[in-house]
Amino acid sequence: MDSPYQNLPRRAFWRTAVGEQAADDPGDLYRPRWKLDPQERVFTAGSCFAQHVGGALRAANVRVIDTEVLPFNLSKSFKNTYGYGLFAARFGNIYTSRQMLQLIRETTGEISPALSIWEQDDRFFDAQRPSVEPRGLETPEQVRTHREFHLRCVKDALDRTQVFVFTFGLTETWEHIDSGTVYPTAPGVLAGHFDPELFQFKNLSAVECYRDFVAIRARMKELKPKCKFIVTVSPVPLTATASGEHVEVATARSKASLRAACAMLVDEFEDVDYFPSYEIITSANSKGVYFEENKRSVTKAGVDLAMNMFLSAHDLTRQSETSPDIHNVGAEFCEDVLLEAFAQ
Amino acid sequence: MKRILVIGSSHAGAVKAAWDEMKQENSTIELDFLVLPWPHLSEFHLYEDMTYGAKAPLAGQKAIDLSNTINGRETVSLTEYDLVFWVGYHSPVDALVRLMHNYAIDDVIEHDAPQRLSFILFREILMELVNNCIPNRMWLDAAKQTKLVIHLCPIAAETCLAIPQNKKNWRIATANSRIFKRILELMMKRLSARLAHHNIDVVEQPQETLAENGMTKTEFSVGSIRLMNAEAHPEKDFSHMNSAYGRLLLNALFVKLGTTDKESPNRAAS
Repeated sequence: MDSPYQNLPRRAFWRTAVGEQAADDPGDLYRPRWKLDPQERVFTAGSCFAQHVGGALRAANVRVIDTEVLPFNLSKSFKNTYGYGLFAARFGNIYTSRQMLQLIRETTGEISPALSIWEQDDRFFDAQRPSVEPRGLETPEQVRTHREFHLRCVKDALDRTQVFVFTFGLTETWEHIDSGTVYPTAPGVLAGHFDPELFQFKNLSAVECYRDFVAIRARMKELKPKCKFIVTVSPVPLTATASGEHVEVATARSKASLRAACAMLVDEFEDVDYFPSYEIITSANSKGVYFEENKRSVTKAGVDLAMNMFLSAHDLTRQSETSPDIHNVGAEFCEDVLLEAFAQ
Repeated sequence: MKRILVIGSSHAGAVKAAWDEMKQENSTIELDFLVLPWPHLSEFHLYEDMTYGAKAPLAGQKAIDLSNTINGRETVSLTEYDLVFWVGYHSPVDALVRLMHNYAIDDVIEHDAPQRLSFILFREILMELVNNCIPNRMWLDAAKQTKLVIHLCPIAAETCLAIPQNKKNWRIATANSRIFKRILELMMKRLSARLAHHNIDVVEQPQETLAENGMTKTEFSVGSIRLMNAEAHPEKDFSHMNSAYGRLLLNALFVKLGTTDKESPNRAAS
């Protein structure tokens, strides 16, 4: 009697694909739906892990969009500290699909984020990207001027996009109760202050993440009908949760939701591909070796493994080392790590 | 007798021309040159034994030959001199001008630029540009043994405003000359302080050579000559200075030497 499993390849079976696989060899985890053409213009955004995606693509001479730049003779670490050289524009980490959609809508003037300027010690911060000017600006007017300029750059980046790469990072976010505006950090972490009358905790469901991205995709298709998408889920666990759950349970809930959203997108749209960075790093095969001692930050070896697999699957090779100056994914350019300061 | 070694790029031509005019009046000073125009100067290296110049394998034969033609030798020992004067040292000014051209900057300059900077970030970039001007470890070590004085590449002469591709950059940067000059002053102050920390002295561009807009007055650029064969630079050259400029530099250096000269440890030991 024939079985549907009878003629499946080795990669379909746990024993041969994982159990007996060498510990440092994740195997044939990724087969892209289509090959990235290095001549295509790529927009990258997402959580801190997304910085590595952009870095690896740049290193492979892919045309990664970068609309806000600093002079070439400044060091990478200097540029990265001020949010340059990380993503398609200087928007910092975008942890949730809701924030990505909100940014795209803001570029068309469709929405205007509520409480968009936060104050801290007489300095003023763009609430949607408080980390890019670590010491804030002198006046609210300057924040508005810089925001207007930034939105023009984001719009320019979106207009040029042929491949949209997004790394889903979190489901937990904080939203303005009346408007639904979400923020990349909780008010009071980098700037501003938390007022429970104004803000509330929001934990996006898998369906909400899926719908957000469907809306993002629709916008991009309006701009570029042939636009393609690569989605991935950051393997970096939550620094802290406001859900009331144990942080490990909350992480599983969050990552499972994001992973499910990606699966729904891939199932529905031919032009959406999923890159399994989450699986590569958290694989049972790796037994946790790709996490640092804090069991959260991904090691350089882990990042290299994931990114090399991505490049290789797309027939791309690194021509230079142009990834961000970070070896420790949970460190320098991730605002959420600041939440550790609140740990008792 | 004070022995001074002048090193550097084609900008040292101004000093060479000035010294030809001045050496009769300065019998207690001896000036030697080991200079090379760009890009060949990048093949001059400082070695651990304080030898400086073009040596194989780090230098190619062309640079070695050129050094022999211009200087009559390939290398010198810095220990033989009371002072080393590095002329045409890497300057952050051109980077500043490009920055002001390409960026609108809060509280500094508003124009139709492709990019925008906050004032804090602008200030941080200036500090980075200054930090990029600190010599490498070998030179910092050398400065502990021999007195090292540097003079940055001069600021472009006003002549460059007549050249379309340069005109826009400089016009924008110098549109508010008060701010431009203030920025230059702050950068130089910072650079001098950083270099002084490493025992390196600076001869700044003489004030009398600067025009109202902060650029070099044309009169100090016309008639500049090349290191090779004393040929004149092209008429439109705006980056090289003439003997009048070189004379002011040497006078400033001699004042420095007279007032701050210390017996060099190597000299004392020799």
